Amino acid sequence: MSLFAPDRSQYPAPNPDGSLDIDLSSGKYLKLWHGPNHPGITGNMSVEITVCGDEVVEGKTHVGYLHRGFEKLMERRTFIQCFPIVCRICVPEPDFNEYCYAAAVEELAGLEVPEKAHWMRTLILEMGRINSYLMYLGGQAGALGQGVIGQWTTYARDLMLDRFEEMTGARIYHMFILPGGVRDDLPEGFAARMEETLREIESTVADVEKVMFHNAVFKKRTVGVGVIDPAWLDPYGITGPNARAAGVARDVRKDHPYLVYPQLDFEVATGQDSDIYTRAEVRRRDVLTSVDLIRQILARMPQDGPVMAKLPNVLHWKIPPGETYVRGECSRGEYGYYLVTDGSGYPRRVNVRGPSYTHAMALLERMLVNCNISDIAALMVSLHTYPPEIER
Amino acid sequence: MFTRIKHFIDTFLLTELLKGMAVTGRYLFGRKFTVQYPDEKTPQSFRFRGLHAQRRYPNGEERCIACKLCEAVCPAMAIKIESEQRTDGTRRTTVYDIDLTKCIFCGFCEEACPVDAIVETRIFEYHGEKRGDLYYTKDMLLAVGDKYEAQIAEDRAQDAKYR
Repeated sequence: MSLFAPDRSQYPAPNPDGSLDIDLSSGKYLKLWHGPNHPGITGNMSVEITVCGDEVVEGKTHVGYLHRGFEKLMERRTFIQCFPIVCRICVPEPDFNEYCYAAAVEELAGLEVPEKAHWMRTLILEMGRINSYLMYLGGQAGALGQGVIGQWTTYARDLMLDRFEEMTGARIYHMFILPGGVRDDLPEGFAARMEETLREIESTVADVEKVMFHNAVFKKRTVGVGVIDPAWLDPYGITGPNARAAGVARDVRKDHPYLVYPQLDFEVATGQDSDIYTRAEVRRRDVLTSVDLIRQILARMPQDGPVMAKLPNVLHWKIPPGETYVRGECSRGEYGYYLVTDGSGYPRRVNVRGPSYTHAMALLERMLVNCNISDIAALMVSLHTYPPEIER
Repeated sequence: MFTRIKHFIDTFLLTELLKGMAVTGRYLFGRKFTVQYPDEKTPQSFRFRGLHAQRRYPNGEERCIACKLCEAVCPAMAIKIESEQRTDGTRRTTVYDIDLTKCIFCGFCEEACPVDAIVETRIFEYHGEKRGDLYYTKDMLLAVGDKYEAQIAEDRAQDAKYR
């Protein structure tokens, strides 16, 4: 019996299949729908909860409101035409999808990517990571009633979106990483403006630390709440900051280095307590790591050289049969693209392994049990999941 | 022992709360971030991908040669082209429609175009009062191009050295 196993002594024992025999007419239990739209998560996902008083006895996650069938759609599009689709799988961090898919296509097509494109890709991935974490910090504070922090981080994120626009021409869906490299070189004076933005982000994060992480109410609401038992990490497939907060330094950037990460100097932030507070703290430190990484990249990036390899005619681009799995570390955990080609001009099968699916479905159902009803929103935000990515 | 006393004083005097209030107070009286939109605007990149335009050569001849590469590469299938041979022997479009409700502003059409005829301008403030208003025909696209040619040419020139 684990230390964190929920106390079920006052509730009926679960059946072998995990269901509960709950007599709703007894008046002791109440079934509620939490969602599909609620402050706990950015997107539509509902949780069907059975409560006894204000304690959750059973929770079931319901998804499917945002299924768009992207994996199937990609089978009918040429390799280059899939890029506007993959970036829409996860709105706050489209670049990770673009990178993984581009790397998979390159691997199967045998394309050589120029050195500078590797640096540019790493730069844009780290920028995307900061974006995503800033959105998370605001959401985590907002779920506990500190709305002003969401406004500050949104401002800081908007500055980063300006840098994205300068670099790629778009703010949210960049479609900047294509097979063979990236679409454009850095504009003049980008490093100086980036440095200004990074300073602004650092000062915002320092303010957030003072207002949110040192706040007595925030601590009371989050310390010791929503604990992930380290023993669950492998059975539930937990990756990313959720695993790092449990004391396991699990990071694809270090474990299976890709792009130019082996040449960069950084430490993976880990925590110990694995509660909501620690997860937020790990992500806050990750923002600062990414800020440092961007500075390193801009200082060490080669100034000249091509950013795009020579591509064949993308309209009639046939890739030899093969299959590959490409992984990358996004801000939520491990992202993976499994790509199968059959020698035609279209991908035969694209399967996306997103971190949100494992975190928001089985793990959330497990964690909801014996959770207080007022902590559900904070708990869901702290797992940092994103419904469109669950269903694709 | 010392930390316990410190903790007691901190909790009793709500110092953390006061420190937080000091930070929020600084924001209250500090510089405002808000951009008063129609009057003020944030800087825009010359790579911005907004409303489409069809360009002309300086002599007034339209650039598009109806090669249909943009139609082929468009991931959203938003472009519709029909062409025929003109009396002077050149091939030109008779229909060039962009359905802006389908368009996703990826810029692939601009990259595919061999003669820089279809471009994405930095205009993002346009609207239609009904659905059909966002179905841009060739005349409308050429009108956009004529109106903003100076800006379009400047943006292309700025971006040219990075390509």
